[in-house]
Amino acid sequence: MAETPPRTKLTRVARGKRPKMFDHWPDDVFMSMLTAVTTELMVMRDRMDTIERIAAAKGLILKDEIDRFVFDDAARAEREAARKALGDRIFYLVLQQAERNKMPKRKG
Amino acid sequence: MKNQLHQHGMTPDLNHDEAAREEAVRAMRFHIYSQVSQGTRGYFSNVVAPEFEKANGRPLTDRQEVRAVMEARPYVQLHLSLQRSVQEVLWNTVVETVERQLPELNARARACARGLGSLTLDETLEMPRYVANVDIHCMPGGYGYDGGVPDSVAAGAIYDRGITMYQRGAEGNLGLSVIHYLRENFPSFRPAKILDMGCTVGMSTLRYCEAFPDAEVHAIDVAAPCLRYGHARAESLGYPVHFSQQNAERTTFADDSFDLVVSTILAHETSTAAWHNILKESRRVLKPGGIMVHADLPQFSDIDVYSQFLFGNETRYNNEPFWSTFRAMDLKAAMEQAGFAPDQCFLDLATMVDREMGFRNTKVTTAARTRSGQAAPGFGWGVQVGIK
Repeated sequence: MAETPPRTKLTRVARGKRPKMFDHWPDDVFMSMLTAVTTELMVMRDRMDTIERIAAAKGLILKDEIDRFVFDDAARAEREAARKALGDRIFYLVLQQAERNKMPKRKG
Repeated sequence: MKNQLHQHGMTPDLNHDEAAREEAVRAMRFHIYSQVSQGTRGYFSNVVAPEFEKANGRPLTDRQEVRAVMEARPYVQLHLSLQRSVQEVLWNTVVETVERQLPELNARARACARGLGSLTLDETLEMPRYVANVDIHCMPGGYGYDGGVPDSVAAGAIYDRGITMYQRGAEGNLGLSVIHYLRENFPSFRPAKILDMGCTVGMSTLRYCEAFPDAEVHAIDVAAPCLRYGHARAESLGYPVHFSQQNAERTTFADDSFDLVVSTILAHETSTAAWHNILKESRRVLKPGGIMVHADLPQFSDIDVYSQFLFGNETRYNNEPFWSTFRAMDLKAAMEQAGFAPDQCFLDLATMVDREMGFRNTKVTTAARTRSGQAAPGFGWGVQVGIK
């Protein structure tokens, strides 16, 4: 698929009050983070599983290669961007609160 | 990992991790809506309700009271917090997928038209307050969201993807349930002209095209991005639908236009005043002898007090401001006020069916089920039926 930069950023914030479930707001944040971490862990497990199966089908033993692997700058940048995206998902609620704190009050 | 089911011309591409993330969200939803939720119900009937009865000398009968005692319990706090967080992860997952390919999806929508149906947008249409002020279901940006891009399908694509995570393979089942209800109760009814109000992306709308292939089907909604997406989706699947951007409270259709006027889970997303207007408008555009069926979740009077509490949560935890008010409304009186003769309008429960017309069970316990102590074959959608 053809890339069409720059990409339009879509909002992650749903208008409407977010209810407080626990007595201490940070507990709500921890639950949000834990949910996101769980999701990412499941995604990562799926991806590793896919890699292992593809490699095995091709007769590759990946373990030694992984330990010896040296990153070039491009690979390092790509990995850094992926790590940042992962953090955005896991720290979603903290980041959202930061966004909300920056926004002027809406009517309704 | 690609989801090959229910593909249509607007289905976004899912890479490995996006597909895995959708599966992860589904897995967590399963945990919450089966295991965690059952734990909460058990906790209510085994612990919270007996303790209340012992302390107060009477059972819990009021949903507000149930809320007060339940929300004080840490397990319930955990449940509700988890539910809300998974809902947010769901939308984040979807938004990321759509964001990555929005320009292509917009281009696909423009190229999808095969001239089967039509799309009429009205840029001057004012978004009603009940849609404009809150993002229903916590869907970021709401139904009218275009991401600041012209000819955008953003909200439509986000909604469609979100629904497939809610109920994979069940798209349009509510429309099917209404059709099943009509066949059971009005076996000779063959509508020639149908209006679906508040169609969003037209999942249920297409079921009417399937069931009544000779009918002229119209679908309206206030949200342009959903209509653009819905039109492209319908065209790609080969269904002729005339989509137009209109408020169901006051449409541009002439009096006596339709044999059948329907909506699916629209009512609880409006307001008291709006719903009165929509019932009146439904009757106005119906031909004499035409039938109106508005389907939504059942009224509070049809379900037990715990289910009322559970469903009432949607108001606070899922941005459904009108949900509880709607479900306590006197809809029979509202239909009569809209002009339907008292013996020509009624509330009923329509059996929930899936594509194979089989029954589907849900987590809801109706009052009737509780009384008889037996499981019913499914639960009912609440339907408001009026004959002009």
